[in-house]
Amino acid sequence: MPGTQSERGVLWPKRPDYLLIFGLIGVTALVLLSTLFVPDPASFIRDRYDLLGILLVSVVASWRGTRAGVVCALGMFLLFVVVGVTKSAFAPSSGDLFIDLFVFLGVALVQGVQSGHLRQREIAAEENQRRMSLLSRLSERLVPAEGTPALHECLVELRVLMKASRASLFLADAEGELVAQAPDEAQWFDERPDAMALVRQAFGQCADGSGAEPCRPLQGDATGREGSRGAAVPLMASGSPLGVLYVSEPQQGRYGSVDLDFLGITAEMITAYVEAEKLESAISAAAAAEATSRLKSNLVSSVSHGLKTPLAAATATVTGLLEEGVVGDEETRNELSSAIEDLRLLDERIGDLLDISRLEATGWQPNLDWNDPADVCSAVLSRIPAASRPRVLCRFPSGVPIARFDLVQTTHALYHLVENALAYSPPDAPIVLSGSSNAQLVCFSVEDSGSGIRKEERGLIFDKFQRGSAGSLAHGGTGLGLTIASEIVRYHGGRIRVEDVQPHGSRFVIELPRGS
Amino acid sequence: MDAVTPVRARRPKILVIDDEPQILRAMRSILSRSHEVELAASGEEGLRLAADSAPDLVILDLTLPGITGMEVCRTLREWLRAPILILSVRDNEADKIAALDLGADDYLTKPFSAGELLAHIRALLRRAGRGTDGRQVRSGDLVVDLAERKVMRGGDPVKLTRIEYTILARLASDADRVVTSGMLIKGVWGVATTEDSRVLRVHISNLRSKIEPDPSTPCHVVTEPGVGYRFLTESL
Repeated sequence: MPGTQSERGVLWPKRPDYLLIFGLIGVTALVLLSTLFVPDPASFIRDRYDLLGILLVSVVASWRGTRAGVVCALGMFLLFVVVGVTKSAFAPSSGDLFIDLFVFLGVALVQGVQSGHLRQREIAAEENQRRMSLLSRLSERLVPAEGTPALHECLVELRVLMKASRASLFLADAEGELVAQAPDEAQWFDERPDAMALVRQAFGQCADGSGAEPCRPLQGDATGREGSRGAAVPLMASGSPLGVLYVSEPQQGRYGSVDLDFLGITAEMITAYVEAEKLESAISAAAAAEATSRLKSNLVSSVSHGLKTPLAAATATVTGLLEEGVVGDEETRNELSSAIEDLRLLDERIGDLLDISRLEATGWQPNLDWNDPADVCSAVLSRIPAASRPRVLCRFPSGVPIARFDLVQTTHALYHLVENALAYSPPDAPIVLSGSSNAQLVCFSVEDSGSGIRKEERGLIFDKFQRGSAGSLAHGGTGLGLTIASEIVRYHGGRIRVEDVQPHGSRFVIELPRGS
Repeated sequence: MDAVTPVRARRPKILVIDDEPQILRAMRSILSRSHEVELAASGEEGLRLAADSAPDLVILDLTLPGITGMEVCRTLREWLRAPILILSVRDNEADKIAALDLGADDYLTKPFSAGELLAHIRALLRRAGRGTDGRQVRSGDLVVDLAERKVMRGGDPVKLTRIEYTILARLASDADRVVTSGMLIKGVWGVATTEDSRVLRVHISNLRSKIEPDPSTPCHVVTEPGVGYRFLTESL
């Protein structure tokens, strides 16, 4: 059935029924013409008047629907009654007249209903076709065969199609605040608070998720001043609002349901486009991050090789001079020994820097395997300079069961804790490395009897390049040891903490999950 | 028997394969005092020199341009009986395991001191010079009699389970050499599965409580973190 003006809107305007008018004129002319060729028009009309009536009713019903057909049938009936009264010569009998009335009404109903169905289908098909062609015009702007896709172009096209003065897109930022996508829009909307309120209302109705049918296009008040008359369509992506598409209404006319449906579909298309864009940028960001990480890792390994090779050569050469029978002079031997110690420290520090960049590069994974916690003792001791080894006491009760952890990296973390303890406690003071376990955790602790760590410093000691105030001058390390230890523990999914020991000193405790 | 180093008619010949000139120079200065030294700057040259001069020991860097150290190791092992000592970097346990599984005898982590290098070389040459069958292996007061299948500690017999003895015998028959966990599991159980490493650690822990004076700082069966175990006949 043909829609009313308000339903048809801008995309599907009502056109005058020129065909009907011409059709009626044509039929009348045909009837009049036919009387010229009929030998006895008077008797023809008298005998066949009902055929003329049926023809006329049928034409009217098919063009204007059932209602018009019924009116026409009644009119015909009345006409023949009047003719019958005034011109008795032509008058049909009254019984015939009533039969005619029923036939006219029957024709009007059948013809009207049937043509109504056809017309509805025709309208729907035409609407669909038009909608498809409009949508394809819009999508061509979004995803052009060549050139860069432009949301802006699509909005301009939409504005032209909808005969609107403005088509704007708002997208929600990280805080959920709506941001206009074109720079000049903000001012326009600032001056038209009604329009902005409509946009916010359209967004808000979806954001809180209340109401039976929360996310429908909203149409501004008809009486509102220019600007607030428009439609705001929420963009929905996987159940949550992404933004709002706002299209102002033309100077004349309002949007009908067809227009709003069309805007709804357009909004869905723009949503898909925006989501795809987001996905694409996320993918390229991930690829860039991976490339950076790979570059960093390559850099680290090439720096590692470049620094460590000459260092290894120097260490081997200098220690070679200390072998028996090479250098006999005691003073030179002492100097060589301290040079060797310097080389060792240099290697340690380069190692620290490389470790921290390796740990910071994404993707480091501990090599988890079943290990005996007591194995860390010998492993840590073997890395400590021989002179300091007697100071480190290992206390592992025989009952500590095996656990699933990275032995090499845990040794590394504990080595840094022991080094730290050696540096911050008086010479000859013992350091105790011990282990214990319970059902879920395996714990390692390093205890010293040094000056302890002040409460206000505890939060900072695991940060990069931090050094305790007590030993900052005496101990010339890189300040990275505790950071490396805490990073290793973090990657293991464990915890590291420091606590006071009475009467003085501190205890670093590493807790790792035992694994299953 | 370990105290007496066999007298050799000639100085042992050592082939060093490393692409870094600084390392080659340092090696020459350390080794040339007591060994004959041949230097190769690439894997290809190393393989050629090894075939020409039949070295008593090969020192091989794993990071080589062209043919990798790993490939050189595999190729050498196909026909060369002389021990292979791998030079590796810290935190690269996977490479060490791979090289040991390919037949390398030991590894040394850079940077190393001349003393460490010479000690490793001495141990490798000594082991290459003696046989491996039907003998007693000694580590301090611990004696593993591979022929009699007996273990004595300070003269008293030690009671071990069958698996503990198999592990100890496997380690002792490759004394002073690193045996990777994978090799050990294969030697004891035949096939390697992930669960076996857990079982292996438990058996090693039990074994240590029976043979070590202080199981938390073992001196007979020591752990090479992330790689495997080593039966020590004397400290390296």
